Amino acid sequence: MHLTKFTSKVAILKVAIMLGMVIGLFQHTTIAQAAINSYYGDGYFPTNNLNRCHVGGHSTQAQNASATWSSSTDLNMFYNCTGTHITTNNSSWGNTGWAGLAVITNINGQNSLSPGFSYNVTYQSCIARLNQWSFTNNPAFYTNAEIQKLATHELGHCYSLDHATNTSVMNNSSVPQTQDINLINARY
Amino acid sequence: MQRYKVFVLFVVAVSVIAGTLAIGKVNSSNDEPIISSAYWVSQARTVPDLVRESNLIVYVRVMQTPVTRIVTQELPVLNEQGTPVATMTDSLPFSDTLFEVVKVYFGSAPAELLVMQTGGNISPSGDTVELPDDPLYQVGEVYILFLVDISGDALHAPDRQLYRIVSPAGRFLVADGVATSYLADGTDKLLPNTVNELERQIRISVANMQEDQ
Repeated sequence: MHLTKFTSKVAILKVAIMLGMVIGLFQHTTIAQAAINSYYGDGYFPTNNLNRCHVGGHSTQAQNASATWSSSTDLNMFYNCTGTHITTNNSSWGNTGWAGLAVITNINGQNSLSPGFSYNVTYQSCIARLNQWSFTNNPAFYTNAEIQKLATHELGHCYSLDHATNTSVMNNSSVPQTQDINLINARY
Repeated sequence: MQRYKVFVLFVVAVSVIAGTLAIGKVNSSNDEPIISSAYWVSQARTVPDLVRESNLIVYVRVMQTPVTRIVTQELPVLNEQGTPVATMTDSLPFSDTLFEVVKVYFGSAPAELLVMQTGGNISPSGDTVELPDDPLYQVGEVYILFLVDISGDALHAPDRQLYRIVSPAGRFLVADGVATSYLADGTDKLLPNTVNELERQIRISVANMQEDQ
């Protein structure tokens, strides 16, 4: 009898330990996942009226991408090469391995390619570069629709969105999805 | 009985903390999350996919500090109708790093090779510019690299031998038997994290690929 009581207490303790470990694991996993489907940090542009200017080719795809964000979110994208917030830039950077690259500059003058850059500071400008080399050398994949999708994705970075692993234009969707729209509208 | 209940609650609390810390330890190499703002052409997320996209797979050691080149371009600024109205100068730094080849898993490699990456040390300011998911190499670091041969690239290597990584997924920092990929999008769980397992998967994938050819 005494042994049975002892055994059941040990069993309860084992269950308690396992339960605690599971809760701990779940807690941490949730935190890790939240970080990958969200913003880069606390920083973003201080206005929802953003000027964009384009340099180089594929201006139509960049314009369509910009218009997509304007029509689906609270962002108002204007074309203005004076006082530009975002520059979309299409030129050939050679066989670099990347097709798109967004570089943010904050109000402290730091840019996001500098080690120690703070994504928590207000943004001043952003350049969304599209690498023409990748398009020219993968024409079957990089159709105009695919280039527009890439431009939409890079603009998402400029607005402060990080890469995502679920259904999102920051993953592999062609246009902003519910999650993207909610994230943008929460800030702009 | 009351003391026993308190003890059980105490055990649960300790276990919650232990569980949280345990995962933290597993992810210790990613304590500082890698942020990526580059959209890489390669979407390879597994060793077989990386092998298929590589010309060369090597175990290497960084011999020298990266040498930086600035590439500058004059680009047309367009008005809203798409007509050029001005020009703009845009520049990006690129760096070439010399590696000693320690071991070759796939392909044919010289004893030393150059690997290019976007970013560099900008003189005279001394500022560093680098992709967060492909930071500049440091002398002495050891890597297993999945490389693409870009020799002959008009902009970067018109008359020399030059390589680049397939993507950050194919850049594994090696230290104490641990192999850490620079893939930053949360799908890195598909990649091995020990040198032994990475080498095993490379051997199998190379053999399978050669069998298919």
